[in-house]
Amino acid sequence: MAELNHSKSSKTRIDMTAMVDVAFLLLTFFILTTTLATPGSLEVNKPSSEGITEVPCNNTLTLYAGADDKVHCVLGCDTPPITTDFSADGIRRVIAEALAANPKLIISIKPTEHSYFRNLVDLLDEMEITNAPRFALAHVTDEDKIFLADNRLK
Amino acid sequence: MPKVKPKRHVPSIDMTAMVDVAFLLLTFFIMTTKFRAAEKVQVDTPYSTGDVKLKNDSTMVITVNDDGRVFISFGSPTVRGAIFDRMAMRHGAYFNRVTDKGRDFFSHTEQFGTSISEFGKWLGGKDPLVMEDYTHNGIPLGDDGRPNELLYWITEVRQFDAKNMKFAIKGDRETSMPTIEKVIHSLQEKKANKFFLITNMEAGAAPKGAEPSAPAAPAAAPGAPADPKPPGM
Repeated sequence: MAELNHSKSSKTRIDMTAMVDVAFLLLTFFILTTTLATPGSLEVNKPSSEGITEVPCNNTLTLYAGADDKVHCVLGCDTPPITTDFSADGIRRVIAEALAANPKLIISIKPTEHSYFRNLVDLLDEMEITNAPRFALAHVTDEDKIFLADNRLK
Repeated sequence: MPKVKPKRHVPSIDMTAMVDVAFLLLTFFIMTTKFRAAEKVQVDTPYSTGDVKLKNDSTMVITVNDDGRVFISFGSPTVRGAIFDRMAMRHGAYFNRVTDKGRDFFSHTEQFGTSISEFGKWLGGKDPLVMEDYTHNGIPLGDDGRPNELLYWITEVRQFDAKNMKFAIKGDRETSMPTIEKVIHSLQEKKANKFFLITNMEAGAAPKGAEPSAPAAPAAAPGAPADPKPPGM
């Protein structure tokens, strides 16, 4: 065919390269925009606010999300808080060790007023990662505030 | 380049089939793409490993940005219209000045963050372009003497379709917890005990909090600007 170009071939050839370029450019654009917009999400099931049951403190691990991306962990009743961070060596190890010692542990998450949304998400995510069977998102009470203040924590 | 050209044999490839395929795929993607509507606020969601995918159409997304302003978005225009009408029935006085054009505009607006007391101002005109430019100051959560209007919206959504409508909170990494707690509290007050937190998918197995624990300024002032480093990045 190419050799026939100079003869009187009546077939006109259109160079489609540019068209293909445009088509694939648009195609790439649409492929990218369709698949990128799917955010994940964490499911939260809170117990009904009626009939709140107080859990005995000797069976709980309380995690206070504090200022500056710190977590204060209190295991059991009158134990001093341990302050750690959101790394795999920090909070995750604390939770894993506590769960290994007591599989029936109830973890209570208390984000203080100095914490940010990302701290809450991180903690809830840790629950998922460590497979904690029982955990609750709780409100920081006045007693908690006094407790934290007594220990000079934020 | 030498001027003397040897006889060239340009191989010509027939691209017709390729163009056909390209345009077929292109058409498919154009048809199936639904563009995300422009958002009134930008939020950087935190990272997590959570991978629950939300159906957009039946979800009420409560967006809270880093300075604590609250926005609401509904997925589909029908839901938006229905909720709007229910609100108009219940809080008629605020909706008197809203025109038909305004209602129409509302049902095509994905996200809004305006107190219903300002709806007359926002949706009272005839020009959609003016409505588009309206500044949203966030939905009141019951501070500074105004009622908690988020509760009103949640109430209507619950009554509209309690079974299928889901709730999701989309917070910024830097949103302070008291605001988020207020939103959660509003949801619980209306017995919406199950909700979702919208997050970014964490890339691979990168553990979160891999950031070096910042040299914590002792006794930093509350609300001190935390470094906006995303965890795990």
